[in-house]
Amino acid sequence: MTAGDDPTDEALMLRYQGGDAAAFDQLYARHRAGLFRFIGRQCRTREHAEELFQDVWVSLIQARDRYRVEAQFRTYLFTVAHNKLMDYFRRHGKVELTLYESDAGDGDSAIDRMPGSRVDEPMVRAQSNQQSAAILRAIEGLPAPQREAFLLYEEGGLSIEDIAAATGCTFEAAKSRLRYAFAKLREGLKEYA
Amino acid sequence: MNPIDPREHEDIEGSGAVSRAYRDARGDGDMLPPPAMDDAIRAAARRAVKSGPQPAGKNWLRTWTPQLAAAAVVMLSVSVIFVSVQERPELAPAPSQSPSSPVAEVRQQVPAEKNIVMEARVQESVSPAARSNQAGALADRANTNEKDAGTIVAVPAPQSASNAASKPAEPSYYAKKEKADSVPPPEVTIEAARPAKPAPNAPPVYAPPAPPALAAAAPASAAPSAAAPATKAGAVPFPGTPSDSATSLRKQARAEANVTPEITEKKALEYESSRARGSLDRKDIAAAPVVPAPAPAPAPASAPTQAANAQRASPAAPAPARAPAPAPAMAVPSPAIVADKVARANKAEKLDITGSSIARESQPSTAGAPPAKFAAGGSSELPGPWLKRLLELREQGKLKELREELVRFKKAYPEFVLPPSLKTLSDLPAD
Repeated sequence: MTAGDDPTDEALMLRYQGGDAAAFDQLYARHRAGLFRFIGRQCRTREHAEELFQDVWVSLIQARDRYRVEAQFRTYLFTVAHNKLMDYFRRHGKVELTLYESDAGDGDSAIDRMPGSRVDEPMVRAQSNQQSAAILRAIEGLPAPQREAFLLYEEGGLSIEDIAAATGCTFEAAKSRLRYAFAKLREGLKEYA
Repeated sequence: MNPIDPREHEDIEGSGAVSRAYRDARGDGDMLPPPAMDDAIRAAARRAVKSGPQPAGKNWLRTWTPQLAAAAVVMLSVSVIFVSVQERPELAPAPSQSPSSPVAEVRQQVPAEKNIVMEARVQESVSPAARSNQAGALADRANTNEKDAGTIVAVPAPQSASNAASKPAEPSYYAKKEKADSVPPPEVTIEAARPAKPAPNAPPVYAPPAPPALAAAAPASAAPSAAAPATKAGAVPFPGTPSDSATSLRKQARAEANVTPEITEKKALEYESSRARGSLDRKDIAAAPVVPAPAPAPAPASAPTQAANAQRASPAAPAPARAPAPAPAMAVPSPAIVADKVARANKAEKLDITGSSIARESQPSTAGAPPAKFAAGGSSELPGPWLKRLLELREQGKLKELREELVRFKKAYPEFVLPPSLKTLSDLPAD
């Protein structure tokens, strides 16, 4: 988080809205890594992640005139990313979208309905550390809503309320998704504890 | 870097250990966008800022688009209306009547007698008692006009004046009839004269073809300026036909809504001339079985005389020279046809100008209302019943009375072409 005299995200966005291109550079530097990880851990390939990442920032640039300080900037940013991900799910796979729409990702039974683990994918295999591999494997094995809630919590730094706002669900649903996500990850890390 | 509220963080059991493990495992160096993408995104952000006025322009356009659209619609509508009015002036609202309008010109050519008639009709609509007094005043004024006209035209018409004066208090039959038909007062005539208000049921103005004699007399009537004094000079009134004059004026005004002013004026003149020819509907005559005239009147030779007769016969004619001689080869209806026409006109109440004149002529004088006096000689009898009576006299063999009646008839209607059977008798010298 910003500290000291660093301007807030909202102030930077307002400055960029007023024509200060340097403010955008600051914003981009703050959120580029977290946003890219948030997107990359939910997409099947890095190419798709890069494409979505670029789309999110371009949308932010194009919509700068309509930006109003009604919430935290990071909530706004990850809401745009969530919407892009939904479009991506609609284009490339129905399973995650079905989990979102049926809200089935909140229960334990959702794990049984998950397709296969994606730990064998190149992105996941790159993790050298076993524990790291284990937790990444566990994250990959989470239902999409829980995974998104966990990533928003960790990468975006959003509160449960912001997660609910960004994903378009209720506070209780967001909290439930987050609780189930942590519980499953904790189970996956038991052998390394 | 995690801004999570500690309380929220504590609410999720075991989240701290998982979060630490994830931060260690997420591989910050591996999961970053490529530098080329960073440069591309930053460049796009700068380009968007450099083209800053564009969003402002868009905002301006978005703000003013509805107003511009409304203004464009209003301008377009006004332009269309303006062009429509320019191309079709009749769509414009009716202006106040000015003396320079064609209808007003026609009305100006109407002699003062017609104004008297209008006044009389207004008085008739007011009260019956005042009507009789007004009729007497009208007769006096008509007598005065007639005397003036007689001095100028040198056509003696004392008989008609005496007739008019002899029946001063009797209300006009046609005034009664038109009152019964709820004909609007004279101001309605003014309203109907406006070109923007066409009368839906206005009868068509009868426009008989101009006879050759009229064409021969055209040079004399070419100058409208000369027509005005001539009108006054030839304003020998029809003492018994005020309503007829007013009706013709009203019909003329109604027809104004359907025809152009020039045509209206021309038809008004033709109507007056056709009345001077003997008040017979040439259209009906042409449709009726024809009896050839035995001795067609030589139009060129008799034109001056008949024009003078027409002057005497038509007070409303704007120019006395316009009164034409009868057509040389004009077909003459037989008395039976005339009687039949009269009967049909009485039944059908024809509204066209000539038809209505016939219908009025055929009103029996025994009905209580005095008939209109159409004859130049001042006779109170209409030609239709008169001819009928003449035929009856002929059938009864009363030749002496018949000849006397014929002489009177010819005096009263000098332009009337008699049927052959009566004409042979009228040519013989009276006993």
